[in-house]
Amino acid sequence: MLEIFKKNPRFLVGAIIIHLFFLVLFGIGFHFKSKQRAATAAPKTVEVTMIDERAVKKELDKIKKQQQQKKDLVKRKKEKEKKLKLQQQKRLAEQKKEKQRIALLEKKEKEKKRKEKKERERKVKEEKRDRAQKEKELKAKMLAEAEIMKKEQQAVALRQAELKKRQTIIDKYMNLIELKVYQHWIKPPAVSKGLVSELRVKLIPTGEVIDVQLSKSSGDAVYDKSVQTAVKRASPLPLPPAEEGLFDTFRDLRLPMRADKKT
Amino acid sequence: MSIKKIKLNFILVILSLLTISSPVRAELTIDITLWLDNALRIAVIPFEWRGPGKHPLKMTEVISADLKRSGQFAPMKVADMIETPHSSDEVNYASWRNSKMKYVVIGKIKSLARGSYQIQFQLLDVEKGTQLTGHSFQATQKQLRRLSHHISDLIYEAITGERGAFDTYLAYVTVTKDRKGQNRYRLAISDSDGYNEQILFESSMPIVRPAWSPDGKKLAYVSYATGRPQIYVQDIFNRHTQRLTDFKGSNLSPAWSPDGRRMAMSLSKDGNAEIYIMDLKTRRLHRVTRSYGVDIEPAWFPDGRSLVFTSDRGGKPQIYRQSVDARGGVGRAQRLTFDGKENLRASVSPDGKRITIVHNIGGQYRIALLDLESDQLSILTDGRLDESPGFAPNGGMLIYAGQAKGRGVLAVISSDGRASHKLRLQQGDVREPAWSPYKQD
Amino acid sequence: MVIRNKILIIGLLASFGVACSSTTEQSGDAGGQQDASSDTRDTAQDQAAINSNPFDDPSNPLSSRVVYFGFDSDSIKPEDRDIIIAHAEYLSANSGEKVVLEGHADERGTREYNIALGERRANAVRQLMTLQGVASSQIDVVSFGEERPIAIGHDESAWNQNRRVEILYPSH
Repeated sequence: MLEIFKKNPRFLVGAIIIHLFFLVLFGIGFHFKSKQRAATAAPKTVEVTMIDERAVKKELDKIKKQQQQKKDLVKRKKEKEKKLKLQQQKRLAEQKKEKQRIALLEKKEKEKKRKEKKERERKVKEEKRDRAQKEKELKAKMLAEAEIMKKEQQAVALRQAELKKRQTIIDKYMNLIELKVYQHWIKPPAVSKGLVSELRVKLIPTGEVIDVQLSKSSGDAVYDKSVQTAVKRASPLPLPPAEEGLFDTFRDLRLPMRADKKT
Repeated sequence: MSIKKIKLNFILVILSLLTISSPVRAELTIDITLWLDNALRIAVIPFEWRGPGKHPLKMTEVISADLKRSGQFAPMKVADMIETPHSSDEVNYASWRNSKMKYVVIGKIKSLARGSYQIQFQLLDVEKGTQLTGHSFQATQKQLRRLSHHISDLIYEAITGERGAFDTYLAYVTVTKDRKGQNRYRLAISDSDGYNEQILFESSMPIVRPAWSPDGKKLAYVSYATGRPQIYVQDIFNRHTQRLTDFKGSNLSPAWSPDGRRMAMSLSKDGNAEIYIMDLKTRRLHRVTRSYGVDIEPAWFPDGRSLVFTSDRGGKPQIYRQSVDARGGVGRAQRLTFDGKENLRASVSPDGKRITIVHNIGGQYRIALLDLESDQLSILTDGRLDESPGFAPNGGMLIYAGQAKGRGVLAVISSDGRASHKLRLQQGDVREPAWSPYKQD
Repeated sequence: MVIRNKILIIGLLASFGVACSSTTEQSGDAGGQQDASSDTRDTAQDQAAINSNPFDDPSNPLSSRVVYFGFDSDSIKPEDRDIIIAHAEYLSANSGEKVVLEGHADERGTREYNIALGERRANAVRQLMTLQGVASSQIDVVSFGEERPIAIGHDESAWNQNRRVEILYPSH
């Protein structure tokens, strides 16, 4: 209220005037009141003065009017005050509202800010989490890729090892076949170094020889016959175990058989 | 379908058929080398001799000769030996490797009191630088030769994993002319290298077919001492002789069953030569063959359940097999040889998987091996009249009778044909060899 | 007239004798048993002597005591049938006589198979004899296979001579 007066000194003046007026009125009224009382209480010998009723009425009317005016003024004042109050109230309310609004806004703002902060924080957290997650995923991915590569390398190595093993097995059994045929070869009398007979041999999975053909003669029929006999006597030829699945490699053999000397 | 389409389909079908019927399949080439001389190089270094006077016997010479005769070893010449160690710490393995030796035999012989000797030897693996086997013995001078053969057996077995057959005997017949130009026949036995000959029986009449009993203690043979061929059995050690047959006709081909209780033989008492089995205890005969041809030269399989023999029931002599049971029951004869004009005189390998025969090829009689599992025949010799083939008790060598410079000689050949060696005796003709079983003492 | 006839007869007989001697050309080196033929070549004048020893008379088939065979064969050659029959007839006529038929073979093949082969050849001769009426008890058969060759050689001519059966009379 003071602030409003500060802002609108007219109000202050007005207020003061009003208050003074009211004081006057109050005094008058009080006076009247007291007169009334006195009137009622005891008939007091009073100096009566004969008043002109009309003047009195006029006066009364004047006073009534004045009173009315006063009343009206008071009313108006009141109204004005009310209005002012209302206004004030309104203003206050508005101010309050405004305040509230502002407060609300501020709150909202705060809230907003808080929310935003939270949001930001959340976002940051989330981002962090995301990043962490992404890193994790990346790591996992890299690990997985590394695993895959490793597996692929292992597979390649395995395949190579298998191929090597396969070749080793093939080599082993080629040597065993050569040895067995040699062990079953009976040297005919008078064989010279350097004779070569070539045979084409067909096997079945048991290693049994089912066909022997002389594809190239050494020029010595006795030697030719002796090598064919050797292959037949050596049957069944040693073959890798069935689970290696290598029979097809050994199914058809081409055997160049050379007579040689170590010295 | 249009004609074009039909044509196209036709071509496609043909092409696909072609690719199906001639698949491109890879052939595996295996280069096989057949060594003509794959003998293992071994240096049998002369044993150190500690004693007064001369060496009682050059044992390493006997051992080297044994190993060489087997066909599986090439002993180093003593003249080529740069070093002659006698104990393993003296052996410089590197230098033996340089000489390409695979094995080295070192040893010592020391004279002990009263005509006995201490002998020790070691067989060393050059590549590994370790000892394969080593033994120590004590023997009299008389026993040294046999001990040498025994050492050969130990060396052979340590290296090849198979039993050696050097400590065995040979039986054979020699024929010389006496002063009147008449034939003098002798039944003899000797060591497996032809040394230490002992005469068991002499006659002016022919002796054929010596046959060892499975325990190696007796020899059966055919002698014309009575004027016709009869079968006799002589104990080698006490020389006690008994006659098994006195049937009319020819009594030939004594063949001991593997359990030594029966003797197969060829008797012509019933018209023509047929195979019979005689129980040696009861002397009862069971007849095995009944044919119009000549059935002769029986030989047993190691299980004692079947015989091989020569028969010309088909026109020319071939080899047949027939089962026989203990009670004298027989199966049907099954022909085994189809290669060549004539096949005779079968002997069965100790493992029963092969037989060795006399095989007529182009009018020449040669020793051949028939593998019974594969039915494959391999010719081992190239003489003109080789006969009487028989296996050593380890199946790794064969002995047979051949001709050299107009005389009959005995030859030993490894059963893979890679080494052969002629045993020559002092004079006359040698024939009818028989390799003893392993000695049982 | 009579003397001329005698001379004619003698001449005829002589030519007959010469003809006979030319057919039997086998030389008998058989196992060193008999040496008959070389001693008695000029037989034309010894007709009386001929009758006393038919085995020594080359004109007599009985003087032939070896018959020969083809390789691996025990078939009697046609030209040898008469010789064997002559011996058979002699044995039939002399039932107390014994004969040994000795079979032989050439060196080819194995020793025991050759003994059996020689025996088969000797048995073939025996069979022919028994068909002619000779008693089996008179005939003995033994085979020496390749153990007693007549010819020491490794060719056809030696082998031909060794594939034989010898007809031997132990009492002679």
